[in-house]
Amino acid sequence: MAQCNSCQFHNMPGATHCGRCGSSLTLAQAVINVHPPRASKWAKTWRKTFLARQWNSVKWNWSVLADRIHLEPHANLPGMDILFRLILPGWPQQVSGNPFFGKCLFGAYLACILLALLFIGTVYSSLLIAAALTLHASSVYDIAHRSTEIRGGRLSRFFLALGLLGICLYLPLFSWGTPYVSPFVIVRDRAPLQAGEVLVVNRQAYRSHVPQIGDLVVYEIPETRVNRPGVALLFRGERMDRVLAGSNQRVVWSEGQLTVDGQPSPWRPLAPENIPSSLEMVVPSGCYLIFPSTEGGMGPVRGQQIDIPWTQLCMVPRHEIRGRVYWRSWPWYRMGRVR
Amino acid sequence: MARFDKLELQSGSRPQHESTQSSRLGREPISWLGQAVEERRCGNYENALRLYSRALEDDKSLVLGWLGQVQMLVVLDEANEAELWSRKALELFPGNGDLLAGRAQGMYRSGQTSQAMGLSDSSLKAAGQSAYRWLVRGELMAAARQSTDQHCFDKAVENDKDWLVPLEIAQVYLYLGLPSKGLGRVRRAVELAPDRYFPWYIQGQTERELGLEVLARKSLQRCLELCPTHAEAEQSLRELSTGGWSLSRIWRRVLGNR
Repeated sequence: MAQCNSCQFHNMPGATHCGRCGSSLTLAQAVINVHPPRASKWAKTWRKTFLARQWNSVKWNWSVLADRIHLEPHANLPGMDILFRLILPGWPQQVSGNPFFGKCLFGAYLACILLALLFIGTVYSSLLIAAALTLHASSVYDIAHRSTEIRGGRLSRFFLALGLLGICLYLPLFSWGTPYVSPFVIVRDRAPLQAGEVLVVNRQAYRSHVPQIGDLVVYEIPETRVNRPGVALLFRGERMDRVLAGSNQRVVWSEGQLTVDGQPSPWRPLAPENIPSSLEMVVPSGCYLIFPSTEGGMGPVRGQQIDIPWTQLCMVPRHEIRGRVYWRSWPWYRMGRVR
Repeated sequence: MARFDKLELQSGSRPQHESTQSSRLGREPISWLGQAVEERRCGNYENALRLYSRALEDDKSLVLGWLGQVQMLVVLDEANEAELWSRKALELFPGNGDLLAGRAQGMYRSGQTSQAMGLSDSSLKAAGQSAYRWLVRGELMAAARQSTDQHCFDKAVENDKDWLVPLEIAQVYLYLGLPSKGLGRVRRAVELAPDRYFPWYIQGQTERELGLEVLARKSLQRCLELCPTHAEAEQSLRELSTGGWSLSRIWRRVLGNR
């Protein structure tokens, strides 16, 4: 009789495996390496360090916490085919037996996102984005709800999935997308712009391209102080107007007509009536000519005509041009491309 | 069933299957195993590991050899390797309770704590009883700061009256940073084996962790009397004599001993 060394069960002669525990009975003759692997010196040193012990402690505390909040990381998790579909609301529902609900969720989410982009920069856009995120959260909660019976577990999985989506999907999306879809809100009436208008600016437009003549741009006005008896003006901050001429070009502005290097130009500033009737200047190298025509305070102040240093204000260095305006998202009846 | 009894060559009173086992194995593997256990009782874990491997070279079906290797890897702070090795041993001896406990201990000490508890449950449900399974269970309970660790360790001592069991329990408490809980256990080990130097050394270490310097000095000196060439005991005694301060010791004094 062959006795098993593991459980001491007496097996039939000729048996190769123990009938009770399954251990091999022919192990004594087998060719097996009996020398265990050993940790290298640096591995043993590393494991004794504070960092390694703290990491083990963090792993232990996480497992205790996961047990307390019924996270059950390995129990009843949906398969990978469901989990990766969580990135789009409604998609996991379409493959897990609820296609109609999935389509409704996805359709509503898409509608909210598209409308939010259309009205970007307005309050309505914020509300629509919130609605879209809520729809996404509903989709995630539906999957979490089905994956376990424990209420605490459902909540834990829901918040964990939502947090991961926020960090891995929405945060990079918003971080990457914001410079391309940056709202510029007009706060005061500045003809032809009205207070409350929202324009969309692409702040990455000139990262690898140069501004073109005629582009409507957002730029940083050259900081200029005008001090007169009883009057002090400070020009500073972002403005919006049209690029009229480039480096080393000779510009003549006369009676509402712009001439660049002797040639009539088809472009005008946004509010030409705010500019003096006659101006002549040469654009320095590395600069662009942009009249701050929508700037307030250019007219007489307290009956005094202020001598505005136009040459200083109009010459905008290349690096101070922040972005290109390409869309008006509000008011809705004037929504469309801006040129 | 005392875990080390079957290793001793005795006559008469041993159960039949044990004498069958020892005669089937022959003298050599058992003597290697016996030497490995003896080295372990002296705290020479590297030698013990080598001797376990030597025993397995002669007879690969010795479960105690595989188990001993896993246990030595754990005490030598090579928990990742212990978990890997226990997994290999379990392929050869599937469902063996002691090997499952060894894997649980390796997993816990290498930070894979979520699965360690499940493996410990499986080891206790497996056929047979042993002190080691309860020792590992107690370690996991103590690590989770649950009060059932005392009960688990008491069960371990119940299963095996050998002095090595309370000593290893004390070593588990030292590993977990709970020397106050381990002091009682190591004192029990010293009572059971007053002529062995290793329990005195562990007692000295435990008392030193608790800040009981006078008692620690006495224990370490007794260890050196029994084994004059014990380098670690000499080193510890030297450190106690130089009276160096330690931030961790001050911190523990301020917060209260664990």
